[in-house]
Amino acid sequence: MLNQGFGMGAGSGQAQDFERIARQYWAAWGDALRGAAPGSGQAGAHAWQDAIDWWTRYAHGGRSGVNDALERFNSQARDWYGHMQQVAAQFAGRDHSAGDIAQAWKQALGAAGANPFPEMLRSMRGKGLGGLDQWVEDASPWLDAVRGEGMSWLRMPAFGVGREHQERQQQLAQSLLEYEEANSAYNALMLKATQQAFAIFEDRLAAHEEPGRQIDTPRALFDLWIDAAEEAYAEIALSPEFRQVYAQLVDAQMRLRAGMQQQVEQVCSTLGMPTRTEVDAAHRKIVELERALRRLRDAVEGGPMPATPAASGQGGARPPGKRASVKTAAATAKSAGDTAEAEPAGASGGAATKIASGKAALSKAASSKAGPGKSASKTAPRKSASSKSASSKPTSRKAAPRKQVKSAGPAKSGGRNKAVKRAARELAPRPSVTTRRPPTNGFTSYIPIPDAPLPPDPAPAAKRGGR
Amino acid sequence: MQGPLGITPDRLANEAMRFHHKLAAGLQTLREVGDYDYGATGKEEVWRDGKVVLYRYVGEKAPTAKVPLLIAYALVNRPYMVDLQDNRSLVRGLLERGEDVYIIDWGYPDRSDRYLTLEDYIERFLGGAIDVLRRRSGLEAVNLLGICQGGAFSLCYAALHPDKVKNLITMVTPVDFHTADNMLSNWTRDMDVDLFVDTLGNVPADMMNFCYLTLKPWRLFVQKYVGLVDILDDPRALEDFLRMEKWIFDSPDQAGEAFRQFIKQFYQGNGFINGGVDIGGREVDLGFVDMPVLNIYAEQDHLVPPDASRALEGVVGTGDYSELSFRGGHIGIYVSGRAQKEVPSAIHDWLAARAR
Repeated sequence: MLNQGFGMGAGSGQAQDFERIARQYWAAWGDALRGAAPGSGQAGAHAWQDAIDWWTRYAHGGRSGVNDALERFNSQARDWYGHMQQVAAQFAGRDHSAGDIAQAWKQALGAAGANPFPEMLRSMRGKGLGGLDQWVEDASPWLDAVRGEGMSWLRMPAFGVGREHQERQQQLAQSLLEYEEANSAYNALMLKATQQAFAIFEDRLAAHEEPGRQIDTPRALFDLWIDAAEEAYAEIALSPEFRQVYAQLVDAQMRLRAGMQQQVEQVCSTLGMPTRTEVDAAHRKIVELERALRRLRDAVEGGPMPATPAASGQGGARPPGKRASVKTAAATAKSAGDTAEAEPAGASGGAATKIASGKAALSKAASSKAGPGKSASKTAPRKSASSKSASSKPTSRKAAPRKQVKSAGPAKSGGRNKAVKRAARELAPRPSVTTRRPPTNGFTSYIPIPDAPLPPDPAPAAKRGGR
Repeated sequence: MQGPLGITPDRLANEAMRFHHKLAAGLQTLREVGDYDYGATGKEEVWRDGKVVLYRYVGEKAPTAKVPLLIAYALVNRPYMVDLQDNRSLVRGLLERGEDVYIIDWGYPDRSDRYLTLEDYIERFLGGAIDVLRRRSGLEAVNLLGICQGGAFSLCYAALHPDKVKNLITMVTPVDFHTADNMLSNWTRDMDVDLFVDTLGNVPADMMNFCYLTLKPWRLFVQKYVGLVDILDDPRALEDFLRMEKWIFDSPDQAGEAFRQFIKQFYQGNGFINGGVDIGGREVDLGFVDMPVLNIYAEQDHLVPPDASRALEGVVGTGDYSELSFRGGHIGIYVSGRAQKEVPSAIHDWLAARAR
């Protein structure tokens, strides 16, 4: 299917306009290259930006996906690459140093030159993108109001009939202050990344000073900056400092959003309108009911039942627990008096819980038929030491380069290992083949409800007083 | 001319001229861009539960494999990445080799799905789909291919129901979430995810997209669009570009409670390694994953670093563990030319060797 919707397809007039813009662009660059007038490089850059702007407008059409991509192209190619062209033109055919270029790049970025990272992140917007900055911008009318009124209330004692309202306002103002502080700390880190990026950029440029290694296109110069900026950013973004500052920024914005939502809820409640909390509560009940019914179905049909019903629903709200299984399995092995080894829960890489290849431990666990649920998982067997040695793994990893399929192969399971697997399966919850039927019972999904048991008294309904 | 730049006025003019020609050609190419929709392979709906749908892919020939292969993709993007277009399709490659391929589509959660938990996704949806396939095929167990977060779900499911999974394949699946090169993990470790989810409800797709792009912001948001000019005179390349753009920005919101649990148990708690993964009140222990496992990871993966995936070897209970190291990135593993040659055949051959 051809795309017939592009505006530039409307006629040759617009294409001629583009040619005209392009000629202006060429003339400006010609002046810049001849050094005809002071600031002509700037004029060339402006002409470039105009040309890209026009082009994007012509290329726009009826398909939103294309338009979105064009808008992103426009914002990135027009500004960032346009500036780099300007820098390249400054040094075309002239002696220069790596420091000169880095400095010129900083100046070309204008006001953003001191810290282009936040500027670049702010440019990441449009359909399908929503950063933290975007929300602040969207909510700016309300935030401005908080700045205007709330700040003056911050230090005033709350009392009287409007006390609770005043406290909420104060809390909101406090949240805004905290968010702005967190944002400053984040921008300070970005500044650090910027300084590092310029330093790397200069170093990389210096490496190209040797004859034969010179950069010969503005595009290659631009790519060099991208590499430098990315390297500097990654170093910061992987640091513990960034982890803390980023978490504080996100948390601070969430507190601010939550404070504003609370205000809206308060207003809705006062006006007798349903609130987000009430709607959420209804959704929660429905999902919990569906979940309870699914569990009931699983139980009726022989499937697994959760060991701790209390853990249902918001299980994620609990902090991650310690690995009880390690201790339990080790204890099991010990009590069995066998040679089963229990490795400590380990650091990354692996060795989390290599346990229980001991026959006694396994047979005891298997014979106890712990049944489904946690009791089973606590005695989870691991690979036997005979099949894979934990201690030998790192060595072999370093010695042998990873290459394509490294397979233990189906035949790898030894006899002892098979016993371990069998025991694992016996301990694992039993499979249940459930039969699912089309939705009929009014839920968003079909949840089979077991037939109710027959009444104890099979007498006719009329005899029981019914109709 | 001394200095790192060997740019002469002529070269500058040449590049500007080249740029101009590309832009001019682009005006025509954009008119000629055809269909850049996704999905190369026909599929039929097999089962549905709420917004979640199980599809069966229909190849040009009947499958020769007896055991169905279910693909479970991540929640954070749409699953059609595995069947993006006719010459970039993992699904097509598998079908051509005789596999019987199914996929679970998680749909687009809305506010009514905010309280879906990991238990719902793993036991109800993934488990429901597997039970359907077991019933249809008359088999006790089926093959499961989990991708990225879907791989983590598949590991949980396989650990909880080892009798229902005949062979397990994990692709670019994080297992150790605390490797030093895991940027996403670094960003989420200290954040108050309770406050985050309590405030947002569902996590907006736009925010997720932004987060992923900021992993490499200069490359993914600046350089990529400047580079667009290079393909403006190539309709086919432009279609590929636009298709990929569509996929990147076509993301579902994340159900709040499942997101909360996933961040807490995996990104913060590193539960596969440290323990503490709890699905509906049952602890997940990968020691129960005793079926054959093929773990495929990408060497240049910036989302799931190779070490994060390779950690699987040390924690699964199986004695039949294999690895495939793919030279590429998190997305290239589905769509690159090399992927089309290497990945489907590796999966098929590995499954075929265990089909007895």
